[in-house]
Amino acid sequence: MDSYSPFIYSICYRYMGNGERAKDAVQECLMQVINKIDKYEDIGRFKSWVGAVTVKKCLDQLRKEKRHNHGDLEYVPEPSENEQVTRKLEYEEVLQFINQIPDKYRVAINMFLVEGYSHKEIAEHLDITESSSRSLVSRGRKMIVDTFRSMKVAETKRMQQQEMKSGLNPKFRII
Amino acid sequence: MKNLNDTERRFAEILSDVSFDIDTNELWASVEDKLPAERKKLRFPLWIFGGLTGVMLIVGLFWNPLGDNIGSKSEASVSISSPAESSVFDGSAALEETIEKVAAERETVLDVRHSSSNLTSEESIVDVDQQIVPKTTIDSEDTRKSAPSDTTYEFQADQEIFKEIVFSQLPPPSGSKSSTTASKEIKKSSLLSVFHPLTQTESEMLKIEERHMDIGVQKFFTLPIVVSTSSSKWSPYYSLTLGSIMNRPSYTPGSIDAQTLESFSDKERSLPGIVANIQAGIENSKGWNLFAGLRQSQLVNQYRNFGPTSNSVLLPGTESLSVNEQGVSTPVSGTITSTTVKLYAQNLFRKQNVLDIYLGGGKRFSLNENWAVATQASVSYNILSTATGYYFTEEFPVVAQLSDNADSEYKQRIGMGGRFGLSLERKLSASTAISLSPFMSSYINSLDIENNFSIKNSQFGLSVGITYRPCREQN
Repeated sequence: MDSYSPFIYSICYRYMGNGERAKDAVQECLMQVINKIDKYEDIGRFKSWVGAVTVKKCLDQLRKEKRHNHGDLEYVPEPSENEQVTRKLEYEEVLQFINQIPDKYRVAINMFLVEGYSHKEIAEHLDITESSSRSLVSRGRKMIVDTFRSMKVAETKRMQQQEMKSGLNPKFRII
Repeated sequence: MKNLNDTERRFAEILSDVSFDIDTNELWASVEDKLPAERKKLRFPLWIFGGLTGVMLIVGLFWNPLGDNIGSKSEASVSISSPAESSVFDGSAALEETIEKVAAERETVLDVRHSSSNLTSEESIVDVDQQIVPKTTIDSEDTRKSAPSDTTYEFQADQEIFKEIVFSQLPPPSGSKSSTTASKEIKKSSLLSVFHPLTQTESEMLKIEERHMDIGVQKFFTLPIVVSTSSSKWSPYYSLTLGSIMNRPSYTPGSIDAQTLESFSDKERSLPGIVANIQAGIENSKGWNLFAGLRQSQLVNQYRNFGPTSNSVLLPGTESLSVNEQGVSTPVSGTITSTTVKLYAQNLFRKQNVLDIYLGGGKRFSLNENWAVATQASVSYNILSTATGYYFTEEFPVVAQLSDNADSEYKQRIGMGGRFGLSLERKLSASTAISLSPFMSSYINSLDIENNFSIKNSQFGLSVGITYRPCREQN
């Protein structure tokens, strides 16, 4: 319990989006792990098995809440490697981003970027088409880039304002 | 991950490493409340059940609760006196009179043994002595107790039944007995195994080396050889069953004389007997199983024997009346014939104890986690058979008593047999299950369609059993 509860909670938080829903999901996931422990076939690490069970349970929870219902989405091109934010992402910013985005994109991002599922696997788990999976992931990735790029812009502006207040603006340097 | 930019990689990296400090005690408390309560394992007294089965197997070979295989009996009688000159027992008129008299008495039936008085009427009397003889003298040393010679037993009787009984016992016309008789064959019941192991998934199968545990009991119950194929593995199981078994109802062979037949309540009657079974087998993950076992059955048949008997004796008494001219009647002493008509009814039993070995196979189908149904078929061979009591003879259409030393058809002709059964099984724990199994069985000899007695050796029954699968406990 002590070893795996934080791990399970982190997965639940990533998928459910906020602490309260994550707590509810953790209870369900722990019960699922306990009830299905006899199904563990000693193939691979136990932690990986717990992670897989937790992800599936989170998806079930979301399905029950009907939070990731979606039809076919219009295809959005995947962000290129050049579309990136030069600033370094911070831990809190990432979590804040996860909390804010819609459930369907959050699930797609986690499954693709973090768990490493293929589009085919994502489609099977979410009961959608593979093209929808590609669209979800592409949109999610685009949202990451756009969000943190805007964060970059906002941070730049804030720094400029601070410099102005402190007189460090090079345009207005008093000689 | 391909085609990911640095931002996405950093994003994934952060999400992968995210961790939270949570109160595991509080979390566990909330989870524990929701966990299903631990079910108390139903500890079925396997060893008690096994012990009972073993005791029944042994006792069934020797125990004979009906010492002389004679059940309830009743008698009704009335004495008819007539002058000695007319001592012949006249049928109809006297019987009518008898019926009226006895029916009018309506006293309590006494359960007594059949009288061993000397009977003279031949054809309607059944000899129930040791040997089959056409004459009807009953040995006074019969196992049945003798009734007091001067005792008349009176009992309550239904008038209609009384009439039916009495008139059915009129002596048959001479030569009416048929010489052709159907052969009786003792049909051995071949009990199918009632053990139906649950289907094992392949993931539950252990490797051979993992099954040989160094614990005494488990090692004993683990087969040293396990057939392992690429698609399925075989594991052992053991079963015990107890149940009830009956011969299928027999019919009346047409060759039997009708009047005589009615003496036996028109047919042989099967009563429930007991069957005990111990079996060992192997089964694979797909539900197929092979098994062998021992089975002890006790089959009970009943014959209801009833009819009138008459006993005439000469006694001193008033032979006639003399009337003088004045109209005064004077009794004249002489010899009179006193005829006692007795109606008796008794139940005669035959018990067959049959010990068979059998081999068979079956298939089990899991309905869900706890329930399964199965079918089984087996072939058996009788290794020991004893019979006591009475049986319907082949040579003469009468019921005769088996002699311990004599070969009878109910001891012979027990050889190969077959059984088919279905069962419903309920899982009690990981390694034990209980089952309920109806079955039908027959000795192969009974399949002779020309044998009028063939169906006597077909049986049906119902068993309850328990199955133990040691490998499941190790899983």
